[in-house]
Amino acid sequence: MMPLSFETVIGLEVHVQLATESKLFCSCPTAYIGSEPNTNVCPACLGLPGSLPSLNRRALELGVKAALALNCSINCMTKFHRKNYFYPDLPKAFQVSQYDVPLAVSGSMPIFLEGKVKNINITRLHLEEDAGKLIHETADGRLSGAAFSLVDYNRAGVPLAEIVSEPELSSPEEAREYVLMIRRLVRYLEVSDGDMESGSLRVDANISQKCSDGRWGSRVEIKNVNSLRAMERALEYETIRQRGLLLKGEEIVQETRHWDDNSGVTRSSRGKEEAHDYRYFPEPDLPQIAVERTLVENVRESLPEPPWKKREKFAREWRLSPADSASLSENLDVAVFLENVAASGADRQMAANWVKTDILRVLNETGLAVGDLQVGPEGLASLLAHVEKGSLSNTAAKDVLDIMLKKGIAVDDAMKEAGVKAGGVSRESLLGVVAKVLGENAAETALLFSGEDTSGKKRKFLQGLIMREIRGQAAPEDVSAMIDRVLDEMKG
Amino acid sequence: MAIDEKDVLHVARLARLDIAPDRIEPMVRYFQDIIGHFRTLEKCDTDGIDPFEESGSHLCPLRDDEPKAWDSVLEALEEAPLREGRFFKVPAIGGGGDPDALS
Repeated sequence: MMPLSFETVIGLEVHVQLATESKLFCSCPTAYIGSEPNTNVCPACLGLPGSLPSLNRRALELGVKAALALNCSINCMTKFHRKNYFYPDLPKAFQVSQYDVPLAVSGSMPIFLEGKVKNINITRLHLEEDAGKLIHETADGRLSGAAFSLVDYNRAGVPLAEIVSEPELSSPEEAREYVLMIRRLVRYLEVSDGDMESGSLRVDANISQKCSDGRWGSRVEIKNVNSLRAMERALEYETIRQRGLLLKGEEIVQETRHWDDNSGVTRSSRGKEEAHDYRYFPEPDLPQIAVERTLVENVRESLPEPPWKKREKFAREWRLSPADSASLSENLDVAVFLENVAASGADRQMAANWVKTDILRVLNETGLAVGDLQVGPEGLASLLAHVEKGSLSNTAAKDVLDIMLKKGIAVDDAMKEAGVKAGGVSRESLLGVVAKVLGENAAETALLFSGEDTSGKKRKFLQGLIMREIRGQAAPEDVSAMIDRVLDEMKG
Repeated sequence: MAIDEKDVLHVARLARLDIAPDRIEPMVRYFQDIIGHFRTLEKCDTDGIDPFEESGSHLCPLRDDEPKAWDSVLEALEEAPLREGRFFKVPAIGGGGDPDALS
């Protein structure tokens, strides 16, 4: 009998907190992290009788922006529904969400994994309000078995966009790449800070197994995955658990399971099938929303090139390595900076190398954004022009860049300050330095002379000494050629 | 649709309400009355009308994204049956977090 084989089927629901100043249906500030509990609340988001919702235009625009970038179709008429469930994090006892007519449907987004591109279809994007936060406490401060919970409604009503994928992801790694691409996208679009740690990007995962004998296990929803690592671990655990059950000929129970990060297992949440009875009905306090064509077109015009397009462009048109294409398209400002360095005349590969090593290093070390740097793309391009002409060595150029970054001065001034001259050392003085260094290091020179320096280590050592002497003001290949010339002259 | 005791207990559970045993039977009758009323409404001819047609044709107005603080938060807190500092305080449900919040 053929052994059974399995295919993993994963669909993700990503909740993204939208970067608005005020909440989705009231004017309360959205800043809930670090705020005193229940400061940013009002009758509407506390669910007090008689209060009415009022839709935030910016939240609608940000939702449209994300939807357009995901190639979704926008529903020109959309509406909100009430999703009913009773829990104290929801002051109204319902969440205002969208149901049968979401803001947008039918999009797609590529992900990159192991050198391949895979297109993932997006089912829908809808808007909804976030819930409040509960803190479970006991008299002695323990969390479990608490008699009371404390409620903070600062987060209640913060706008969320929920992005639902088709069940087309086939491994935890693909799920990870998908979430990373969503995060990159919302950051490109400035729709959200996309920070999983602080909860502005949250993921629920649906996972099932397709068995080679034709059985298809029920879908299980995993909640409480608060980091990418937790999501991957939870999906790996669930894959093994579900396959084990199917191998034993057992059924998979369709249910919601909670990831326990400490124990590394998922656990069934009781009573889920009943809680799924959300009794959706149209929100009577909000008329239908017309998503006007002018709004959509204005948003469309403001869209930057999405991260996957930048990455493909760097790989295909610029011929950068896959790793460089990925790292240089991670952040929109860095990608645009690089494009502008090239647009200012620098060679693409050289610009990519310098941005990747020198600019990214400074950004990492200082925590600055690329826009805060004292050197703009034109500045870097003018420095690279010297390197390209051979009038500045790489080493000298790095010193000059350091000065430019520190002092915010133009390349010519920085070169003066660094004590280097365009054109570097003359051939004559280079010859003098080479002859001097070779003379001072007779033992190493002898090995070069006799051809015994097969590893090239001695040559490197001597070259380093020469470079130091001339403060890097010559191209390494020129120095090497000069060493050969001096050796030839010795041979007579 | 016939309503029975099971339906009433199901709805009560969703609403997290305790119903005294002697209140169940009257509840079944209330439910039946209410649903009976909808049966009457169903006699209206609604052909060609959108299921969620709204009265009037007005559209949802949009608000500018300008944050404003509400100045009566403390009053709202003071009205709460239970509170601790600036927190509202509620009996814990099942002693733990909601497994189903925000799906």
